[in-house]
Amino acid sequence: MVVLEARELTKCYLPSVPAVRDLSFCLTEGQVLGFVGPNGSGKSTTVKMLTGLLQPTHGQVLWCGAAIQRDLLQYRKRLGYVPEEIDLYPFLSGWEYLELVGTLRGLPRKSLTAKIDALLALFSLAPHRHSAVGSYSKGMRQRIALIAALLHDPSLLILDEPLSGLDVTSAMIVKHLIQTLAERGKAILYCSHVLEVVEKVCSHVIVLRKGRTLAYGHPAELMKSAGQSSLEHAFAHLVEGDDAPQAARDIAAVMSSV
Amino acid sequence: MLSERPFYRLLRHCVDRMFHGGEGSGTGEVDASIGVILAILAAPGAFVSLALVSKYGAFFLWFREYYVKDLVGSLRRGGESLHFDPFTASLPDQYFFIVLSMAVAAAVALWKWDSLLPDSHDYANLAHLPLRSRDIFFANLTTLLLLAAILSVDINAVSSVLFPLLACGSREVFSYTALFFGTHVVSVVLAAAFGFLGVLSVLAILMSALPYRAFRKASIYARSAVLIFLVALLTTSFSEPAKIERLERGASAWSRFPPPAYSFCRLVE
Repeated sequence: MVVLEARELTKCYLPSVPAVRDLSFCLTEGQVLGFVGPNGSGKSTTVKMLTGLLQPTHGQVLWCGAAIQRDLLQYRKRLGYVPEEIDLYPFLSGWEYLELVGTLRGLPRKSLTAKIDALLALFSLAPHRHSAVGSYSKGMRQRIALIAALLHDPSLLILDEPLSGLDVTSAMIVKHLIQTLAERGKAILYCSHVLEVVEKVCSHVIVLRKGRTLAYGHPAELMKSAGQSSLEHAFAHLVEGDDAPQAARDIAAVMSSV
Repeated sequence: MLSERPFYRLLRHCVDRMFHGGEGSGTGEVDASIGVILAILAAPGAFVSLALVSKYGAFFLWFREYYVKDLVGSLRRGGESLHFDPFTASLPDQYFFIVLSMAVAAAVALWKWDSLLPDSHDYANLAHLPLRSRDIFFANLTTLLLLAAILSVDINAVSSVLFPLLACGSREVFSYTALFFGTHVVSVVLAAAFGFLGVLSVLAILMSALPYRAFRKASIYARSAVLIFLVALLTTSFSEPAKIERLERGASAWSRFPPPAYSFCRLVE
């Protein structure tokens, strides 16, 4: 069943410069859709349109067949979102922040408290739960943001660089969690620049460039069509980026020049 | 339960943000609890009221009226006697309390300038939640009005009781005391609300009129200008009552315009 559909999404910040042009895709239950592209390709703009934070200039975002703008509140009740830039309230403790988010989402107090305690323990944050978020490391804040997105058992998850700042153990847990949630029927949109992870966790990948879809398909299909052995190389081939080894040599040469 | 409803939780969050948020929050800055803050805000009024005991206290009145008079003989200057009229004597003090109330409330608004209105933290954390924008802004507005009301009462809590009792202590007419008390309370509470909401208005106008970066730069100058104004207001509060008294005799009307002077005029009338 199609959970989320983007239909000819277009966003123009300036009249002659569209940030996103005619982007269309479908996200079904149990699917993990990777969303990759170079800087400035329109990923963040697309994510904002998908979460309802930005109105598209043209096109629609459909949730179970209905435009999200018709009932944005209901859509957001089923949406869990982890933004790329985590900006939590520094004066709240981790526990207080999660309690705030859970209460604002209308979760019952009793079950909310139990869930928060359990998730904090599972993400190894229990010892720090009463410390101010302002004192947390980047990885700890990322884990709090992840917990906040999972508290209400969303059916759609939009994750923008969810592994940013996480240590190896936490990153492995999150990767397995994504696969587990997909097996349970959750629809997941995964945005990342780390293509090794995208290759492992995503069932399909969209490659964006200058606001347009450059490629769409299973990671193995993209690699085969580009004639490359990894998604990273396939991506570099598709976006026709700089020759990375040559660029690295040029940088080292400039560094050592007098 | 009320606390489980999203709107009331939002209200509590706005209060938390106003008291504990702002620049530098959560980074080791001294974090005073709400109770401590309220106690500190009530202190200036309490101290000034206690300082006025030497002016209105029964012992000091007796000392001035009987002992000093006896010591220097019967003093008459221009037909005036040394008889103490508490109403006339309290006019400068009433004016000062109005100014103090306004200045302290405005100073609180200046102190919490960065956390009075929703900011980037609120956008980042609340915008994607199932909340209506108007609920967020309405909760913030409700919190601001509650804060203005709490400040108005707290700043004047001690002085509103002590000062009228001191000033009217020599009068044995309850109705006079009640009228004095009521007038004083109304004027200082309104002055505090005016001070707080006045600074909030300046903030809101700047935020609406300027782009974000220009607003951040202009904020520093605006806060400094308001602070200088408040200091000037406090330091000139000792000379204003005399000027206002002369208004009845046709002096310059400029003194009517500064807010405390205007409130005082109405009070005197």
